[in-house]
Amino acid sequence: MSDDIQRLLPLTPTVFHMLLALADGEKHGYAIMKTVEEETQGQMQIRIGSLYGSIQRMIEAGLIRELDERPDPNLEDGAHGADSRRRYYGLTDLGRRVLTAESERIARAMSVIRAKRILGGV
Amino acid sequence: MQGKFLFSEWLFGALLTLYPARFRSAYGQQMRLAFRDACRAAYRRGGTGGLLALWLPTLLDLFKSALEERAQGEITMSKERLMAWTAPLMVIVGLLWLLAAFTEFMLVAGITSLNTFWDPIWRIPFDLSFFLMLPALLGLRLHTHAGASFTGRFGLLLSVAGCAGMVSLPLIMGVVNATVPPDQVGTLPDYIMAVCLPSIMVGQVLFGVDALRFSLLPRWNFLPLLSGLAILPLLVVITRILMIMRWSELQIIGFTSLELAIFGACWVLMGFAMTGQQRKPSAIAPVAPAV
Repeated sequence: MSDDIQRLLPLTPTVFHMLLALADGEKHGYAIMKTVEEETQGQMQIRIGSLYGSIQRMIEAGLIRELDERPDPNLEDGAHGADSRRRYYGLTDLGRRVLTAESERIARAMSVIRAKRILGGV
Repeated sequence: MQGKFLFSEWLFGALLTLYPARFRSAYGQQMRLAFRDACRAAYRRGGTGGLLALWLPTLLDLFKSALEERAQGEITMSKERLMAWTAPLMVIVGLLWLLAAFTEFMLVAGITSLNTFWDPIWRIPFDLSFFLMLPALLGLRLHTHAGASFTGRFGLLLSVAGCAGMVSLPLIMGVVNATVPPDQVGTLPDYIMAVCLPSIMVGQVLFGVDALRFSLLPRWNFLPLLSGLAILPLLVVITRILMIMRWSELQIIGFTSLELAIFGACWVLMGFAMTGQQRKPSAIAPVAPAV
């Protein structure tokens, strides 16, 4: 694993879930919030201030990038229709590789959890 | 219903002033849009109660993240400021060393004589220079950190440590003079200088080698090495030889003046070489802990 990936691991839960939310396509800030909430069954709720602080640091770290244009002009912006002022964010190559590396790390931990039957017989 | 939304959005917008201006201009509008969506979703779920339930965690998060961004912003601003001041500081340090060299030269040239006034006067610009050299070296580190190898980074660290020692010398002597009888103070300042000055110069030599290898400065990459070498062999070796050869005090002072002048000139030129070089601090900012 290259050094630029290694130095970013392990990811904080917020960054991991934000990368996971962007894994299936570009999203705007509020959509990232909602996706994280849904994918964690409400266990993780990122608030707006923390969300954009994280977005800023993830852009600086090269994990995500701001898209120059909307990924799909017909894309529905939640329940309130399209808004041309919205900015969309997507994974960079580095972001995708970091997400893969972190997922592998979690998967390895998961196999140990299974082997030791931590989850009550799972 | 519209009034509640408008008030909430207005209040949220007002609270965004807690964030640094740079962050606000980059993300303020996006945060407002996201909050507008969150408000509407919360109202759909729970009416006015839902809207109020959204506000409490949002408010706490706003205060927390605004504080974080302000702290982060201050660090970034300090780095940027330090980087912007590197070149002028280097020029001033160089000029102070040239001034020290000039006061020494006046003795050699016979313009003035060695007396209790002129003997210590060269130390004033010399000692003062270390207070400016310390931020200049830290700024130089920020400028060159990304391109330097371990040797160069270690060299600058050594110089910074030596410079910090020179800066703290008056403080150390103040404490020593207040606590130790004068006859026991002896040559402690000389010992401290004997460690700190070579640290600065050896550090300059190591950094200078790296600067030549990787072109760390925009131009004139030989200058850091020359400034270190100018002092090291002259200060440590030649001055010693001259003393053994029983050169007169004035002749040795003349040599010291030359060393100071070479170092000063190198730093003035390094300052000019650095002028206009602005690198983004993000290139050197540690990203991992922040992420």
